[in-house]
Order: sequence, then C-alpha cells, then structure tokens
Amino acid sequence: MQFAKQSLSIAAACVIAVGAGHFVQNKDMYLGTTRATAAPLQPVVAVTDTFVNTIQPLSATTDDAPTSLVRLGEMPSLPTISMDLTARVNSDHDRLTLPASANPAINEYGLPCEAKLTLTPETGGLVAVSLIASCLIDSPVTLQHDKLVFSARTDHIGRLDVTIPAMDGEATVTAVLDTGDTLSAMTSVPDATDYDRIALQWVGDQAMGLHAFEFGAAFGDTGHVWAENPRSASAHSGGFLTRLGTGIGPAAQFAEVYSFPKAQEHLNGVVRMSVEVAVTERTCGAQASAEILQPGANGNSQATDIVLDLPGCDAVGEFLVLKNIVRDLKLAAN
Amino acid sequence: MIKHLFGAAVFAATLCFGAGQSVAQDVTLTSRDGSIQVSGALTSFDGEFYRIETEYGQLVLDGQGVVCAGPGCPDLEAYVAEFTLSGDPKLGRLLIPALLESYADRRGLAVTRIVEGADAFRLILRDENAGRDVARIEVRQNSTAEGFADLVTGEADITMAARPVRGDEVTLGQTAGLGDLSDPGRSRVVALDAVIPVVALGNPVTSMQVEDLGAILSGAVTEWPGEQGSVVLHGLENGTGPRQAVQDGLLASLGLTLSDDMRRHNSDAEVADAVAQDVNALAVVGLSERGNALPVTLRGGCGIPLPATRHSLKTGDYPFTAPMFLYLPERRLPLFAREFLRYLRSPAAQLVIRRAGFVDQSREEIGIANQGLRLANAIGIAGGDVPLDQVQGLLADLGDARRLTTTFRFEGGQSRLEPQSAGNVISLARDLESGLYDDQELIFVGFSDGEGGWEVNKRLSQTRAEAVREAVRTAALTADPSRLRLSVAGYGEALPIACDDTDWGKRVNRRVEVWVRDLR
Repeated sequence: MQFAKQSLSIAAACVIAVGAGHFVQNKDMYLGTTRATAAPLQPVVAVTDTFVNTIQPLSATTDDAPTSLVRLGEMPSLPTISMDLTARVNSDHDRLTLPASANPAINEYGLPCEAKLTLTPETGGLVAVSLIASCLIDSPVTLQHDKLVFSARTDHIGRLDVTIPAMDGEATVTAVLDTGDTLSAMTSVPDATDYDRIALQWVGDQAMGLHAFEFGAAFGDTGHVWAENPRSASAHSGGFLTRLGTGIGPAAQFAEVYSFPKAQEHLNGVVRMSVEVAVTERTCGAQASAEILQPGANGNSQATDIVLDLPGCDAVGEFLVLKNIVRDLKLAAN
Repeated sequence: MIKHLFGAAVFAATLCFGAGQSVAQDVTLTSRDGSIQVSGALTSFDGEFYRIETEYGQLVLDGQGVVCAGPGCPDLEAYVAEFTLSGDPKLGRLLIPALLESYADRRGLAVTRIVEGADAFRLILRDENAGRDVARIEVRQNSTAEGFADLVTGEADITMAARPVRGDEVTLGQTAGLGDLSDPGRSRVVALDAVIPVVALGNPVTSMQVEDLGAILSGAVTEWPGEQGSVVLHGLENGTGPRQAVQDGLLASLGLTLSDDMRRHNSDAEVADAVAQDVNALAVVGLSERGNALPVTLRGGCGIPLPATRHSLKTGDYPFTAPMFLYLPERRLPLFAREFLRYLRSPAAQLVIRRAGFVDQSREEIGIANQGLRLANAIGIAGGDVPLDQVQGLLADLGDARRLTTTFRFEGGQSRLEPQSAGNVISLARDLESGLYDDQELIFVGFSDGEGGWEVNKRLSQTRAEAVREAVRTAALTADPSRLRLSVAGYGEALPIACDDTDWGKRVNRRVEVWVRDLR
C-alpha cells in the first residue's frame, strides 16, 4: 500500500493549493494525479444526491403538513391533504389501477400490454434504441449490446429511448425486462466501423469516468473529452463520449464509451486515455472494479477486468488517475 | 539404464529450476504403457514437465508420457502458471500487457488486471468455462537495470530490457546460475523502437546533423539557429533505460555526455507531451512514444539523411534503432510462459506490436523503386574509390530482385552477430524450412564501410555474406536445398546508408542484406 500513501500525501498538497484558490493538476505521480474535491465525476455524486432528496421531502411532509394544517385554524370541514404531488398521484394510481389479476394483458390505462424493441441507425455509428413496455411503468431494464451492459428505466408510460454507440456494423441489442423476459433486435450500422471505441463500465455506486485528452489537450480544454464535456458525433471535431446507465442502487450498471472517428487518422499524434476513480464515502477503503473494452489487434473489442484497492476514508474527495490501464490511441499518418 | 529407456523423455537433467519450486514429495511416475516406473521426490512441476529426484539422480520427465501416482502428485487441472516480468516501463506499461491480453484473447481466457500501485500489476488469466485460473503474471515496471537485478536475485523470471545486457550484468547472471545472458538463446527481441529527436509543431527545424544534436544534448550549444531563442532540453530521470540508450547509442560515439541541465520527466510519453507544448523545446525520445511532438530527421556529417521509418528500423539502417528485449534465465519457465514467448513471433503478435506504436519484426520486401535514397547515395560516391562500372553491375545484378528487411550486422565489426541479427538467422531459417522461399533465389549481399581499398572491401563483404549464408543454412536443418537457391555477392562500400566519418556510420554500413528473386 505504499502507493496509496504516496498519492495521499500529494493529494494533501493539492487540497491546500485548491484552498488557496489555485487549480493544481499534479501530473507526475502514481495513479498520477489526485485532485481535490468538487471537480469531476459529479454525475455519480449527483445520483446520490437525488437518491437522498427523493426520500427527505416524503418524510418531511408527512410530519410537517398536519401540524401546519392544524395551526391554520379550526376548519374541520377541509380534508387533510398531503402537499406531496408524487405521493398523491401514486395514491391515485393505486386506486385507479385495475387489480393485476383481472386482466394481465391490459395496463393501468386500459391499453393492451405490448413490449417492443426498435433500433434505428444514426450518423456517428450510433443506434437509437426505443423500447416500449406498456405494462412495465417506471421499471428497470438492462440493455446489452456486444460487451456493453447498462441499466436503464422505462418512463411513466413504459417507454425507454436511449442512443448508444454501435460496437459492430451488425448491431444486436438485447433488453432484459424486470419480468425476466428478453427482447432482441438487430440493425445494420454501416458507419459503426468508422470509429475506434473505448469503453469503461462498472457496477454500483462507484464514481469513475473515462477521460480522453486529444492531441495534447490539458484538463478542461475543449480537447479533453469526458462526462462533463462529452461533445457529440455531429460536432465533427474529434471524439465524443456517450454515458450510459440511469439505474440506482448497488446493482445498477453504467458505461462510458469514447468514440474516435478513424477517418481523422490522417492526424498525427496521440489521444491520451485515462480512467479516474473518485474516493467517495461509499467507496473509500473498498475495492474498485471495472471493465475496460478496447480495440484488440484484430479490431475486435477486447475486455479486461480492472481491480484496485481504494485508499481509506480520510481520502474521501480525492481521485486516483490510472494512466496506463487504457491504451492511448496513437495515430500515425502513413 | 533407466535414462536410456526413457529416451527423449529424459533430458536436460542438469537444468536448474528457479521460481515456483515446490517442496519435495513422494511420487511414482509410470510410463503410459506401464513398462517403466521411477519413484522419488518431486521437486517441481511446470505444467508440462516433472522434475524428480530419484536413486538414479535428477530426472526431468515429460508429463504427457507418464502417469503420476502418490501423495506428491500435482493436480494437473489445478496447475496455475505463475511468473514475473520485471524491467523497463517502456515494455511493462503498454507493450507486454497488450501482448498478454491479446494472447489471452486468442486462447479464450478472461483477463483481470489487479492494479498494485503505480509500477506493478498482476494479470489473472482465467478459463471461465473450466472455472479456474490458468496463469497469474506479475509485471513490475522499474528499469532495465533493476529488471536484471530481479532476475539475478530470483525475484523475476523474465527481464524486460530497453537495451542489451551489459558485461557486469552478464557476470552477475553467470554467478547466479542464469547462464550466459549475452548468448542469443537467452534473449528475444520483442519489438523495435528507435531513439529520435523531437520538437513542437511550429519549430522550424525539421532536420539536423547528428553532430549538432550531440552538441545540443551535451550542453555545448544552447541556442537554436537564427533568432529562435534558447533550447529548452527535456529528458528522462537518471538511470532509465531509454536515457542510457541516448547516452550509449548516440552521445558516446561522439565522445560526449548528456547535459544535466534539462527538465526531467518520468516517462517518454511525458517528455514528448512537454516538448509538444513548447516551441523551443527539444528532447530525444523513443519513436514509439513521440506523442504529439514532431520527429526531426537526422543527417550524417556527409549529408546523407537518416529517416527513422518502419523499413529503416526493420533493416537496422537507422543507426539509433533500439530493440526491446526479453531476457530469459537458463531454466525452464512454466509451459504457459513458453507458449507466450512462441506467440510473440507470430503474425498476430506483430499486429499488436504495431498497434502499440512500436515497429514489429515481420519481414517485408522493398522493391528497387523504393530505394531511391540508397541509389542516390551510391551514385554520389561512384567514380571515387568505387568504380562506376561496379555500381552499374550492382544495379544490373539486383535490378529484378527485392530487398528483404532482414539484414545482418556484426558487433563491433567482429564475427559475432548483433542481437536483432541473431534473431533474424532463426526466423529466416524457419521460413526456409517451411518452404516460403521455394522456387526463389535468396541473394546474401555483403557491404563494407569505406575504410580501405575497393578490392579488399569487396572481398571482405563477400566473405561476410558467405558467413551469414552458412549460419542460416546451418540453422535451417530441414530445408530442402534443391527447392531454392542461396547465392552470395559482395559490393564493398558501393551502397552506403550512412556517412563513414563516425563509428556508428561505419557500423551501419557493414552489413549483409538479403535480396529475393523468383527463379521461374
């Protein structure tokens, strides 16, 4: 664990520097850089926040609302109402929904149950995935494509729309529904092979992300492509990042895919790739694990599982930067 | 008696085993037909061979040929190959893991990489179907020197080296019972890299004489030409293999030492990234890690340009070519490790090496049309020491042939082949055996440096060509000589690649090329 100590001492220096109002990026050491709090990887932290937020108002209203209503005066004719809209809507749903046994092939709106998965190729080697599961409202779905796997949810009418990068010219997508049923669809994505794809995927509350530094870009530059600066395929200015996964909880699966157009390989130089792992209250002292997908020699994607021990909880808010886990994209004009 | 009966199954009984020794336990090994049996204490099993201490002495038996019984028998299914590679980060960071992952992929094994720190990781290769680990490989990135130290102390099984083994390391290795590490059989050239100068985009310098580069690197010259400003030197920390390669391969021949006044970095990649951001910066890095910096083409003192290209690295014509080595101890490595080493020579591995930014060693043919620079060099000196009709004769002889990238060079002008060339003998011999050059003529064409008279040089170059042909013939035991023709020629200094005014220039010029021509 010598390295952890080493990185922590640097991290401390960084915290002081940031405190003094400077943004310090320490490039040289292990797991190279550790940066202080707040900066990247907020998406996952944000998920935690939402999680907490949705719980707190609920408990708060049930406690507070009646009290304040009593204080409003002696108005016994008025019914006690909850101020929480979601709770009210849900309770309406409970009342309005037909008993499940009545007719399993009809959903709560009286529409016949159907489940359908449609794929539409889009430019940028992308595939628009559209799932309709009219009897699975706000329900978890696992989407699989090639070696990519991530969690998503259907919305209030049982719909799920997500755009994913095609890892193969003949793209097959499988949706595993909450019922255990699976739906598969296939489509041709002719320009899928025009891109090099590098993916990072993980399970649960780990805070990590893929970073691409294109042609000498520094942290925060336009050419630094990551979750906070994902760019898009239509920008036609280098690579772009797709973040996948909207699930919550310890079993939710997430993926980040960096796509770089091979057509731009007349460029000479290198796209440096790294993985950042944040030490959070949920992950400190634990083992971090993830899977890397990157192009192998024959062009097919190659999978490697990564395992590392995260520093203890006095390092919460710091980051480990893994520079040599993902191979840099080296572009050499011939 | 027993030894005789076991025939081929018993061999190398004196080979010493190192890492992964197990405690001696009693076993009985019986040949498959049941006719022969030996008992003794099992000292090791490597996934393929048993080493057993018997009343007849130490025996090594092929696991395929015998059945093991007794409490000491290893669980054949549970055997996990464990070995450690230690040495230069240039290999350990990218190339070796890429090759191991790709090899695992070919064998259908799942890969888990356990990050153990900035400079170490373990790869666990697992057969998911059988539900068991097949290999656990530790990779330590420190330096070439520490890689050799780990090999000597038994802490590593394979050394990753960014330079050839040094004399003192050979001595230590011999003392430790590793055998002669300078023997060609103890090393493998995995990939080729080269030491090249780089600058930032926007720096007007695109080409520079080797002597001028030396002057800048040694600190004798500190200004760019014109009004451009002061040179900002970048380089690696002391003691790293690539830094040593710059010193040994480039500066030593000019009698210079590397300046201490430079910005230090931990890896070639960081050096290149720093250079790319400063228009006044200069550094010497590996071609594989030039990053976003731009290469500067070197020129010899007589003006001959020395481009660092895939072809010029494969042929060794680029004088600062730096092969990347694996050094192996004189002991049997686990079967999985030996199979991995074999895979390194395969076409599939060459693709991985290329993708990693290194130059692979697959043989290529270069037609005469793509040798304009060399021919220009030849014409440049024709009429001096070299009679014009000799150059014309060379063109007439080889005009319908193609040069192979396989080229042979000798250490310090002696008869001993350089490491890259020694590997070339083996690989060319394999291809002769496989019939790849059936119905073709291979011409071993010797060249010399420009020292001495034309007649002497022509004879000398022809003698060297004959020596290389002999070496290849000897190594290609099973090749059918009636199916192809192996001829020799010598052209003295007629086709120079570099200037003859320096030691490295002469070294590059003294060579035996191989050309191929269809016989029908």
